[in-house]
Amino acid sequence: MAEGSDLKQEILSSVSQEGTPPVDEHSFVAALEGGKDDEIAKLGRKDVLEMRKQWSFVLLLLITVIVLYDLWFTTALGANWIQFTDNNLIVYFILENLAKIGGLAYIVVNFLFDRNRRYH
Amino acid sequence: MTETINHDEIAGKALSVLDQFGITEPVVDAVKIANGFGIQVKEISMPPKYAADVAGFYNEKDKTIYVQTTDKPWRKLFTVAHELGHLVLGHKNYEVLFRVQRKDETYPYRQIESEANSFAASLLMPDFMLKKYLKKYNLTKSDHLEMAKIFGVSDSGMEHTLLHLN
Repeated sequence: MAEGSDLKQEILSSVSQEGTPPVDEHSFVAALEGGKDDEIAKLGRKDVLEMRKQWSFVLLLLITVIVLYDLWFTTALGANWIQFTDNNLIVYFILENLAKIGGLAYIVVNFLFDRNRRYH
Repeated sequence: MTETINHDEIAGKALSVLDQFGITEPVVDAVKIANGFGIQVKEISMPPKYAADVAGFYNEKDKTIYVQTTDKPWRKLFTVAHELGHLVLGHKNYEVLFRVQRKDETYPYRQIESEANSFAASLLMPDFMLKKYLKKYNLTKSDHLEMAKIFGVSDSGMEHTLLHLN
């Protein structure tokens, strides 16, 4: 096989340059740009799926805590551990509501406004 | 004799070119850069005798970089970047770009072909861009497949580059 400029000339002389226009903006670079856009979209979808998983877990945890609390509350009333006349009752209600609001705020801030998360 | 390649110096030259053309995002458009240097890029079908071995070359006479038309887009982009490397690094006599680089000691173009490859890698996958995209998409160095698609380069090339990323 020839080498260097001899090889180039050998190739060029055997190639018809007719019908080989210069590569323009619609060339292979555009195809690569398309591939990049597809990949970024794919990464975005993957991220949304991961976020859904985390959302589901935290919501399930929150619901479990609320149900357990209500269970305890009902049992406590039935077993006369606490009475409706008990002055502390209002404190239990307020604490429960604060915990629900706090839990909701945590979910919203942590998952919707996460600095490290990408958005599309 | 084994000659050493100053990758840092070559990367510096690639960065200057990116800066000159205001390129800050992948895919690095090597065709645009070539056109900016007054060089055309053309796709040709290499003669059957060379089709398996030759990926492309630069012809000084008509100021044109020829790439194999049947190659994959990322291969064509690398070929253009490699040929630009010869020009930017001031190589005088250099070989066509073979698909697999010859490594035998007697091959006279070994050093400059390696330098042009280093330039192409630095041009298409500069460190600052890699770090930016790793951070932006929460990716790690093991996510070379995803990064290769974002940067429009080969998977093996991206894997090697990420492995050596500081």
